[in-house]
Amino acid sequence: MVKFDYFEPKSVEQACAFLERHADEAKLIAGGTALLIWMRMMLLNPHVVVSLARIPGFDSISFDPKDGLRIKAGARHRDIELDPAVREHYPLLYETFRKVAQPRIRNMGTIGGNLCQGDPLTDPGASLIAMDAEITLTSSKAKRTLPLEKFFVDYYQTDLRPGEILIEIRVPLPARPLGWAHIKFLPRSQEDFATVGVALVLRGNALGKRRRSCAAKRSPMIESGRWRRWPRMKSIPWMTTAAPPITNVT
Amino acid sequence: MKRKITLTVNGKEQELEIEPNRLLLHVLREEIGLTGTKEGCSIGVCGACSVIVDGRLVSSCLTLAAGCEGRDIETIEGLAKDGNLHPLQQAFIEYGGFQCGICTPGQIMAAKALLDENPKPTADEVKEWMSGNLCRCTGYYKILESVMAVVNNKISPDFQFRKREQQAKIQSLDVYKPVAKTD
Repeated sequence: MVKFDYFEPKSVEQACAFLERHADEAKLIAGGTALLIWMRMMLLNPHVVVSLARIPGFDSISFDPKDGLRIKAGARHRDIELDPAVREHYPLLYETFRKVAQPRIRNMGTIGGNLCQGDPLTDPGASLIAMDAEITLTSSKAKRTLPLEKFFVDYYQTDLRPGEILIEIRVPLPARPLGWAHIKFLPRSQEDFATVGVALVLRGNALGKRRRSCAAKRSPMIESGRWRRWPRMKSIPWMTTAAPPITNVT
Repeated sequence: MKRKITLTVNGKEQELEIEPNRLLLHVLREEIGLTGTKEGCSIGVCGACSVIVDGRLVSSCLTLAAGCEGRDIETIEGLAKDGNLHPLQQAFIEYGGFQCGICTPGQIMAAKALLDENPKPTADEVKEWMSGNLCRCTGYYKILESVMAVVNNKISPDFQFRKREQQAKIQSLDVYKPVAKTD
């Protein structure tokens, strides 16, 4: 790893100021599970590393029935997995986060880092898009909110602009009844990257008597994986028989 | 530019002057001299470098030491107290939870983090939790057995009886019985 200067700002504003001052040569670090691997491989050689780990409240998760779930970008995967509100109201997210890598990596990696890395092999992106998540980005000049789906551009490419920091992910409360499924194909072992992952949500009246057939035609579906670059929302053009059974309805 | 940091390692404060690009793993091993924590894959997959930072199990190979300023770090060296092994260490010896031993410090730290959080996990929960700790000798069943022995309180410093039990078990296997002669 090259030598770098290391800063630990105490607020998002301070972090934005550091980013602006050091422009191209700075990188943000949160959990470190992605950035440090790339730095150890010399794929990235930033001169300045700005850590978001000491910003108070940057890892908080809050839930309000009207507003939905607000996850600050510094929340670790395991915080989300263990959050009672996520478990109760967002079973798809619980199921997804529970299966990301293994507990040690979930203890370290943050959701903001995961999304900003733009790695299509990871799980949370697809499930968050399926749940209509939107994200808030901020820089020292402006703040903007956009649907998570629009954030992903290509392999390891996101719409994150220079000087911007992802600060929050908001997931609206889904209408009940909610049908959901998350499946992934793992080439070797449980903690491996998925070759293909699918997150699927069926909402409201789509879950009628003929739940399986008519719901699958109408509902959005997400696919992610090596062969389909980024999760994309789309209606399922499948034959009805090809739709996976929705076994989880809450 | 070097930074001054203070780490609490196994309850003892350590004042160090390090470059910000030093990893916790290397600082533990090379600066503090605690070589129990091993380096395996260097990318957070194998779990050999597992340590507990502020109660969370983490990979020390993907943790900047500078980011641990003021944090509480537990390593394998801090488990034994007053000359007595930690129950997990005892169990790994009794139940043969290791072969070559390089993954063992990580395995034990991972198991400790699990038991700190959930003292009575099921075998499946242990398997799921320990899925991030690889053993290239593939001694996984013995590791599981060792952890479950602690969960079920089946360890004893005097474990000679278990050796006898094992011996009897081996002798009872068909393979040790004289093969009937065939003409």
